[in-house]
Amino acid sequence: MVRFEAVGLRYPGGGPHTGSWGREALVDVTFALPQGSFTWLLGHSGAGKSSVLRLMHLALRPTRGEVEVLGLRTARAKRASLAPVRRRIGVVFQDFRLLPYLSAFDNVALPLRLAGQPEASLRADVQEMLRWVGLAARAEALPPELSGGEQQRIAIARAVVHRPALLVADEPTGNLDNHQARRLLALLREMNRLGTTVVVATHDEDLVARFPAPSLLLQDGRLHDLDGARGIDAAEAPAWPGPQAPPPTSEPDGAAALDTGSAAVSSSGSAAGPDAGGAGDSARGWTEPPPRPIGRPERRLRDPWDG
Amino acid sequence: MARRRRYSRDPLGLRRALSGLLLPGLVCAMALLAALALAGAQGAAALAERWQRGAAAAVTVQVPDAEAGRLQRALESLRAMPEVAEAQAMPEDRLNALLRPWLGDAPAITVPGVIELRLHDARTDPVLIGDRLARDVPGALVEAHGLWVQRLAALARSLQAMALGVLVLVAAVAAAVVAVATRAGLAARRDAIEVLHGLGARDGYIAGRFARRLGLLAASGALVGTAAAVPALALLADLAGPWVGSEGRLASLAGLPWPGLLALPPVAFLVGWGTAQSTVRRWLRQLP
Repeated sequence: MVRFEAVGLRYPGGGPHTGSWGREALVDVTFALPQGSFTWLLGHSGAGKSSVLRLMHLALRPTRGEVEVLGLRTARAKRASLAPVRRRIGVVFQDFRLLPYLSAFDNVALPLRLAGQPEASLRADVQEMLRWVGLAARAEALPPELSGGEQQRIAIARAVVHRPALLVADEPTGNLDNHQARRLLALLREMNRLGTTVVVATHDEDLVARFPAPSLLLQDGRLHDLDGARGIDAAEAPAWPGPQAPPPTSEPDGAAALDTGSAAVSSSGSAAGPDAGGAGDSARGWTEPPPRPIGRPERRLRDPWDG
Repeated sequence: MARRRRYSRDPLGLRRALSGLLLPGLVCAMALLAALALAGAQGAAALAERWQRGAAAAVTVQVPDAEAGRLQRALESLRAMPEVAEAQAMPEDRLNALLRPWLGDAPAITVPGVIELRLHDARTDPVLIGDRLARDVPGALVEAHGLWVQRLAALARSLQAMALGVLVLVAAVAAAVVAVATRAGLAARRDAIEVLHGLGARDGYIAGRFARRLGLLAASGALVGTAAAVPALALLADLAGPWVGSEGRLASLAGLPWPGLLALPPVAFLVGWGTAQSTVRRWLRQLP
């Protein structure tokens, strides 16, 4: 689904023609996210969360290492082969990135139109999605006429209208109050329940505590394994140092820490460790992904904005 | 609903980003220049053709003291020369009519006999013919105004070549103008392009949107420019009618280079379309 293999990333520094490159924004990042998983991506600002997300939704390619997304190894893939994969990824940006001159309806319809869906069948899908985010009445409004929360919901609708296999959200609650943030998270969890792999970057620990899930913690461009979310590391690289890893005997069960939610963040020292991560799927908190919905899955969505 | 239908066909908002009259106005002016160049090329070609066909091979021979014997001897001598296609004595009444403006009706003055020659090859040096003729008929003079005609024809041909050069130049400037407009549109819609690119739009999709818009703008400008050029060209053709042998308004209107003029808007569309395609595709390559 999503696999990072010793990924290093440098941004060009001093202009594109000088040939000089900045320091590595990501260093040896290795993890794998199974299909249908929900993962938090944590870290202070500047830790590299956005870089990881941009690699995930193919807005960047790694400087070294390999990033595999939805079966495509992006490091050396042909440029033209990236576009079809992008169409299977939904992205929610902190700043929404709606097109200001298109109505809410047209913004949400963009992914379907890019996929070549005929106008007749597209209309029902988009209206259903607008109803789901509670903005059916504002379909003809332009983004500047909408409030921040409404724009955010339009951005979510656009990210999920085409049933992406992977949903990536970068600080999606940054512009929302607590209530709206909780509703947004409920929506993301709902997508996840229907089979979409979801990755959410945030620094909002409150939110993470409310919706416990495996998390990846980035510090200075390096990955700190909190609770074994880095799927392949446990299996393929047992020599991961894990500097503060306690002896395995003191680690009762990884799942316990996950279930308590807040422990996933606060117990980074004690919960991390190759052995905990290798304890099996149940220990990592993964549940079997539900089968991909067939037909018109949006009819099965609960409406988190009304609940 | 109207708004939705309008924007769904224009996801990049290019109608607003690439609007205004600047680009169509520039293309309109260039289409006007191209139409003038086309007409100039055709006019020069017609003149060159006519001059060369009519008079290029004409050489005249003057035979002083033209009593019948000398004129006849000169004619025979000329007709025997291999490079001479035709030698014809100019009838006396026509000669008198030609000279009347200068000499008036003065039968007392003896005019020389005049022979008109047509040569097989206009490049034949008439001096050699004169030398040989002078041996048989002393005092005969060869006048080679064909050389002048040839120089005029060469001038007309080079004018024609220049007009074609102007056409190429106009097309190149149009392409440059479209490229600048495309870059302005790219800069204005950079965010939208990045969003669409991120949503999985192919380069061809984005480039196609730009190319269609710019092609249509260029074609509309060229249409106006060509339409504006037609009356001016018709007037010029009317004025030039006596020289090129056409008569009447309708005839000079029909004499305009219609295939070229009608091709201007489609060619402008292709120039705009192609330039936008290559500019946008090159720009998109900086995105991953």
